[in-house]
Amino acid sequence: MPRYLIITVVIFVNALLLFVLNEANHLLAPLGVSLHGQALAVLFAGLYLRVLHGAILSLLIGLLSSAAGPGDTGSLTLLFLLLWSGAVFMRRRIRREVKFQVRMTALLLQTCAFLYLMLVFSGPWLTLPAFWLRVLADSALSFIFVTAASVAWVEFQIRLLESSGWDIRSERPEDP
Amino acid sequence: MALRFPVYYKALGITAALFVGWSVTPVVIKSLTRTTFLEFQAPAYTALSYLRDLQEYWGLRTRSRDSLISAGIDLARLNAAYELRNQRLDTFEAEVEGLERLLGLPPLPDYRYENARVVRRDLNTWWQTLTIRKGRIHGIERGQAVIFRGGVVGRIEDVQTYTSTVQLISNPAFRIAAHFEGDTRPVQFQGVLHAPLSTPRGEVSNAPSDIRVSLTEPRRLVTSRLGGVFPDGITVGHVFRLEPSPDGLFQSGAVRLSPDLLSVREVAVLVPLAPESPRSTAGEPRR
Repeated sequence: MPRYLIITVVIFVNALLLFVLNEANHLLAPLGVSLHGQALAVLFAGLYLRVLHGAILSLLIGLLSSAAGPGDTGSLTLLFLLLWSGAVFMRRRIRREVKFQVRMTALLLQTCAFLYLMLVFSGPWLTLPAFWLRVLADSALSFIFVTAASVAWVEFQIRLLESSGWDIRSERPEDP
Repeated sequence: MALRFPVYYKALGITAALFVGWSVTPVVIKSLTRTTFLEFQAPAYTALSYLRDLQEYWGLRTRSRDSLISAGIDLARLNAAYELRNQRLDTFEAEVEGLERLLGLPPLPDYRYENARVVRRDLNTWWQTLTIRKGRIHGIERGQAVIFRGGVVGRIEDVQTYTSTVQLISNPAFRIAAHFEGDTRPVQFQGVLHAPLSTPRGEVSNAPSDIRVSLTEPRRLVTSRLGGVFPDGITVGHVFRLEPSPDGLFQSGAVRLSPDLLSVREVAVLVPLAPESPRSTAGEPRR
């Protein structure tokens, strides 16, 4: 299978992840909490894929996710690109085979996602107690989810590539 | 020796280049991109909502006939009560039309109800929107009012071909003109962020200082036609407490919205009728 087709499948799979998260938020809406998993969508691309492939994936996932969001599409797309850049930065600083380090990277990226959202979209709500309660509830739920799913999600994508004949584990793309 | 940059410099460079490129992109292209990606994913969410409806249908099929007959009887009683109410409303509408002709007043705006199922709820800390299963081809336009059995849902924020996005009344960016039931003086309602596991709420401001509310005697806040979007008299919420503003001229307080707002499954979009269009006949929903 050509590599560009495999990358397309990876993009589709991560878009499906966001779709599932949106459906989960649809069901959680009556409780007043929501689940965020932006870090998971770009984690594999940042840790394993080449820069060009990862950039395309992050851009497309960002545009998909932000199309339904508020305001300018660029704000949420930039979030995904920044998270992907962060994952690329962590690539040389962690051992991808060590699950604990992958989990911590995912948690760190998700924390950065929350900080970005607070910076860009919060405005005058930072003084409201309800805002902080909401952020705490959303972040607690999201961190539990990201911690539980990060390693499995990355492994799933690795297996997907391996089943297509691409041994991504043995590659060290773009080492300086 | 060729200079090689660390891979994360490349990643940051690409991010910066895309950000700068997007910043200088014309608004038309940005809007087109957004619409394209929205329309691309809309069928998936719509299909999922149909699956949910199918699941609900098969769930109802498992109910006993006795429970369905009982529900049918209750609905028939409710329909009969609404039919009687409609007959009274016909009389009131005829009186209003007569007074409009007598005084030379312009007719009040009339609406048709476009019912739509909720496809997706996106209610997080930073924005609160619904996606409904009706769009431009159904006559829906940006800015139209959206209601449900509990009152106001919100306003149409964005319209695609087959789906629309509704800005929820609990969204902090949502504001409308309102008034207390039985009092014609206008007040302002704005959505407010609510804590998890709590009832959605808003805030009323510029309330007259002589309005009295209490926990045992709350007052209903309803929409005002002054805003030009909502017809008069649709429930916004209930106010249990008002506090004087610093200048003492007005009051402000929290508005408790319908708890069903966060789990609403079907809404009605109020599509304005042209002034020369015939009014709704008996049996159809009225304003």
